[in-house]
Amino acid sequence: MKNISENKNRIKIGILLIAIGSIVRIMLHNNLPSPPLIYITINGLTQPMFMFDLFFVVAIISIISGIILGGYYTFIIPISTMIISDIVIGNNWIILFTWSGFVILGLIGYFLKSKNKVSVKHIPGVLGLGIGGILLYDLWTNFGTWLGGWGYTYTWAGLTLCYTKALPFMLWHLLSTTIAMIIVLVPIIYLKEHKVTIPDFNITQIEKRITIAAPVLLMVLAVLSLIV
Amino acid sequence: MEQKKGSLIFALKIIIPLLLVISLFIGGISTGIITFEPPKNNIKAEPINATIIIDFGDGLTYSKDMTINNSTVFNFLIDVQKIGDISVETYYNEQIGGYEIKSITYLEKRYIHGQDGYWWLFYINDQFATTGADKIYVNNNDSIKWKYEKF
Repeated sequence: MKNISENKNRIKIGILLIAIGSIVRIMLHNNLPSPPLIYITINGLTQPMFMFDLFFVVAIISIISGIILGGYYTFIIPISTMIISDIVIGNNWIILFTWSGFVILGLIGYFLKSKNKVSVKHIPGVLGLGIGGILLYDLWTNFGTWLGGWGYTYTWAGLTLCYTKALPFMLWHLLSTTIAMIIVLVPIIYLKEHKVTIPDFNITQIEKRITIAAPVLLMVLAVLSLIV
Repeated sequence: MEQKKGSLIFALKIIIPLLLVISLFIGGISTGIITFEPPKNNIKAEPINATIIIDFGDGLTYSKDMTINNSTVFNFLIDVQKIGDISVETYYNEQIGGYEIKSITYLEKRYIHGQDGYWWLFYINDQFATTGADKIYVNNNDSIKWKYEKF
């Protein structure tokens, strides 16, 4: 009886997270403000310092799904959010790279939860790991962009150019998601510790293994989709 | 005493990275890596090859590989006009402090910016751009896509 009730709560929270992520992503699409007129010159290339996109929306949903729900929801929630909002917005050819990148962020949230790091005293560590996850996401997805061979040569210079051009997006991802984590995640952690009991869901060993295997499988599929 | 030490360490874990980021930003400004005005030219003063694709939203597309010197996305579009394949009307938007597309005419059909909910938007290497086209400098092998789409 307790298991059924627990699963129902888990599903409800999951649906809520997917709904919030999808709706916000669709609403903000094409409604982002113009970025500030700040330019950065790296490697001889001058570009705007920030290029706005909606990464932070799915990123924060992914991290929260890992922290609150864990298990299968670590990958179900980010992927579902992307699928639903992509029906309206559309996606690009590195779709598997972006999906697996968000699942990795969910996994980071789940890792924090499983190691009992979701507490006020660990907030700096939570933010730090979140930022690390964002960097990992950008390294991975831009690797996919380079691997696709579109616009970049398969040389060290081509790889460097790819990452240099991605810099405005990466800087925006870091800034926007850090702010989103402070605004959304920190209160969740605080409430969890002080007032609101966020349920701890039981996660079986099989579920844990599948949770870790899912992003690995997605990453392998992502690479195969480009080289095959 | 222990609690005070713990609070101090907690505060330092937040303050030190923040100070690092601020220092890097200030350092970037002082060394000229970070600037507040678009450069008049790309640092690399050499011809830029880029592909410009125009999607008119009704099944028609136009594609051209171009080579021009030190140019913004906006200039690339104006240069396509010089070839004679398309005709571009522009205006200076004082609110945003930059040039915007008023219409593009192709094969005698005029696609007006903002008509019936259709707008001219552009993408650099498949990434939607929210900065003005006259503010973004094209780099070698970039793909510029102008799309006439509804939103």
